[in-house]
Amino acid sequence: MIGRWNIRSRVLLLALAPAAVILVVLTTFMTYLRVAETESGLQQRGAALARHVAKAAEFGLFSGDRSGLQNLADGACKEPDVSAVLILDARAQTMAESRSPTNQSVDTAPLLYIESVRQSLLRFSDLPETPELATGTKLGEVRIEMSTVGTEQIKRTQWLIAVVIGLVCLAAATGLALLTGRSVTVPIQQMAVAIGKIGDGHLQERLTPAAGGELRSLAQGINQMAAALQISQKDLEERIAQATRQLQAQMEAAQGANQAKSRFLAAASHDLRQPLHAIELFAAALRRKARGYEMRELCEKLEESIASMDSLFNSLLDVYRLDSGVLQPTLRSFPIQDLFRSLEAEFRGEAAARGLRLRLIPSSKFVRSDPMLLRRILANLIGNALRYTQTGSVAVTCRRDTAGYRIEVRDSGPGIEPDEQKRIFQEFYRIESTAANDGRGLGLAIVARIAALLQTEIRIRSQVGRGSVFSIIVPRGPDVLVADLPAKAPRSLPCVSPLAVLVIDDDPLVLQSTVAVMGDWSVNVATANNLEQARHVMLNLRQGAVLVLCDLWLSEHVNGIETLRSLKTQWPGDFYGVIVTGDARTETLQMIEKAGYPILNKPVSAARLRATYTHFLAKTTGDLQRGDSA
Amino acid sequence: MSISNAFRSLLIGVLITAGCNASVAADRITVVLSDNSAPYLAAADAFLSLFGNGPSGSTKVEIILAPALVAAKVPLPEDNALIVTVGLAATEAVLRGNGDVPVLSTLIPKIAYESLACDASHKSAGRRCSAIYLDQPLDRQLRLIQAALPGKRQIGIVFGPSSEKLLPELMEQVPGHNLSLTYQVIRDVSQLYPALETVLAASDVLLTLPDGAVLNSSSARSMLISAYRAQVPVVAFSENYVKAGATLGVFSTPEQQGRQAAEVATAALAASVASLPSPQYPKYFSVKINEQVARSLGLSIPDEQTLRQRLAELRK
Repeated sequence: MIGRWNIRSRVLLLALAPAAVILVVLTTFMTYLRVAETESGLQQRGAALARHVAKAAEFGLFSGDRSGLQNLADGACKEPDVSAVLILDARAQTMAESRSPTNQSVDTAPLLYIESVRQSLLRFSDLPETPELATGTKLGEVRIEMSTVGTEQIKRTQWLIAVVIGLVCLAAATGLALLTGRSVTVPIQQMAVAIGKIGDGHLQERLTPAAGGELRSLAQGINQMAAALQISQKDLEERIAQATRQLQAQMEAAQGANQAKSRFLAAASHDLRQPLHAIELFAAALRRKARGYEMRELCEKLEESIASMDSLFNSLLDVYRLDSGVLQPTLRSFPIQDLFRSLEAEFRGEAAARGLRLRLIPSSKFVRSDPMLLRRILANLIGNALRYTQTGSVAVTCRRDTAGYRIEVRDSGPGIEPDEQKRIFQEFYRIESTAANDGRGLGLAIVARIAALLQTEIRIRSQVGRGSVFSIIVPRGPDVLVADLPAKAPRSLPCVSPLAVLVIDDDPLVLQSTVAVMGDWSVNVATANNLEQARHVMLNLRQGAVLVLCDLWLSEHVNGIETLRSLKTQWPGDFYGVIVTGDARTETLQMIEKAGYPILNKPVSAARLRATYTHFLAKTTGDLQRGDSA
Repeated sequence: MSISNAFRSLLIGVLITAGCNASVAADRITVVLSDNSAPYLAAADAFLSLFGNGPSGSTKVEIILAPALVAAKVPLPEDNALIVTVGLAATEAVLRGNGDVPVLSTLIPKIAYESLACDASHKSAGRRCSAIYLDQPLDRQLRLIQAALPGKRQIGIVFGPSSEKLLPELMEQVPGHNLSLTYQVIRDVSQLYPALETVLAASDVLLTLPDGAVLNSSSARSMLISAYRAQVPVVAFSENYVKAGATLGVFSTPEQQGRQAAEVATAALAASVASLPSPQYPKYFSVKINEQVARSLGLSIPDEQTLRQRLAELRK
């Protein structure tokens, strides 16, 4: 228990314990002596008084002097503590009796002293020849009763005084101990406080060494320690700051490099797209016009190559957009079955071509996510699974999980080595052992980025030779059905289109290729190089609805957004504007989104163009066709 | 210490005397002491020094202690010229034995001697005895009262069974000294206080006489206190009683008794036929006054020397 005491209590104990013990022992001893003295004093007085009265009563008893004896008894009775005096003669007859009125109180244990009165012997003769006959006959008896009440009172008072003196001395000793103990406890307490502050990081804390000796050197030691700590802390801080600055610089450099890389890729893809856009459209037109099997096969090969290149550009753009933070997920609740149906439609053909079985297990669950982004993830994963699996099947399931729903893409492929499982999400990483047909190495990098954007992650469970399972957790959504844009173009188009199309671009190749493609769909297509031409063309259209596909950067330093706004004001009917651009820079995309126009990224495939047209056509006719995707 | 010193000087005295008188066997005295206590030794010392220095210097003196004699350890020599007994016990021891050697008793109360001498005369009729009493003559005591306390005329006395015998003599002498007597006679001490009260109430001075029934060590103090309360001076017969509170007293010291014995013995041996005088009262005496008591009682008493001289003068 003492182990937990603070220094003040310890010093107090050290100073007080011996003093208290000595005080108690001495006070008790002295008081005991005094009390014993008082008691023995009473007894001695009683015995002495009895002897004295016996002596004095000798002659009274000898002479039978009752009045003299009464005087004697009365006188003795006036002595303190005497409660009664009785004088008896030799025949036990009362000769005198006196009782004290004051000492008659209830005394339970009075002291009684009895003294015989004998004739005192006196030598009177010179020689034995005159006999003295020493008999010393008993004359009587004196009885004295002493009251102990007074003594008890004195004893009590003495004990009380002893206790009071003891307490006063103890209090004085405590005060003195506290006063003298301060010289030890205060510096130590100050040191404890200072050490506590230093421990909390206040290294500027210093002690003023007030005491001498060890306490002074201790305080100085603490000061030195604090100073040393302060110096080393400052040193450390400086080093950290330096390292941080270096790190910052490196990070900035890395970021700069990354951005430069993205910007370069975006710019490159934009510049490459422009001709690709044209090539694709020409290729489409060429295929239709191609005659003979050889020509058609060449055309198909050409289109495949163009599609592959297009896909690569799209992926690069996606990575750039995801890195630059342009893309923000729009979360909503939707049935996962819609997504499954769409994906099955997309990959059914590919699976069949590879001789694989693709199963998307039907599910009635509603998830909360961005449908477009989630579709990208799943499409990527399914695409990958189909690519890497030689034989067997690819299955997609949606199951309940603790955190929501777990969507799994399971394949019967070769599996992934454990040390490769992390690296497959890196850009341009490709598993060496597999002979991938279309391994550009961006798919999983994009998947990982999108998953991060959706605040989830892709997990892999895989064993070499036993296939892989990619899974993603998505939160549950309320079972609310929300209408969605069609993702796919309908197979058939109406014979006479009620929606006219105006294509505005400063590049005549783009204009020609677009007309070549769309003209085949029985669509009324007009072209314009700039705003002026566009106005002029639109005056001649005279139809109810118009879809304007406008290049963003026109030659006269008038951008597509302004052009669309301007044209919309003068068109009486339905007006749909779409910006077509190869510019993938964040600022550009944000600007277009802000203006509220949809974007078509160059190069635009014929299918994409057709899907866009169909979408707006549906709006115009009011006949919302819901294809195989919701 | 004084006792042993006295005894040593006594023995030396014996040796010297023996050396001087080796040829005279008939002149031989035996001194018998009651015991070797100081008063007896003092008396013997005084006797020896006076006897030895006197005309009968050639007499051989032998000293025997009474207890040894009684226990028959030492035989009493038959060819003695005289036996001197010192004290009652010595006298008793000698007189109870047989023999016809003259005996001179000293330090013996008159009443005790008379009783012993009477017995002795029955046993051996021809034996000559004499004594020097310890008691002072009544006449001397009365004179002392007269001289020391001239205003006190009424003498009070409480008699006991033994002292009562002095009553006729007193009755006879008191008027002659222009004094009167008040007295009570008691059987034992229990009657003392009333008697004393009666006597003191009617007396100017209380005269004490040796009688165990009246005056013993228990009653001695009460008697003094009673007298003091009655403001009556007490005349004592011993030095110790004067010291204890009696106003004054007349007595003979052992030395004085020894001196008188030496004189009587010398005279007896000097005569052609050894003859002893009749028993006599002390010739030498002392007067003692308790000045403190005298002052307390408001008495002015002449000094001891003056009184002694006046008593001695009046006697002549």
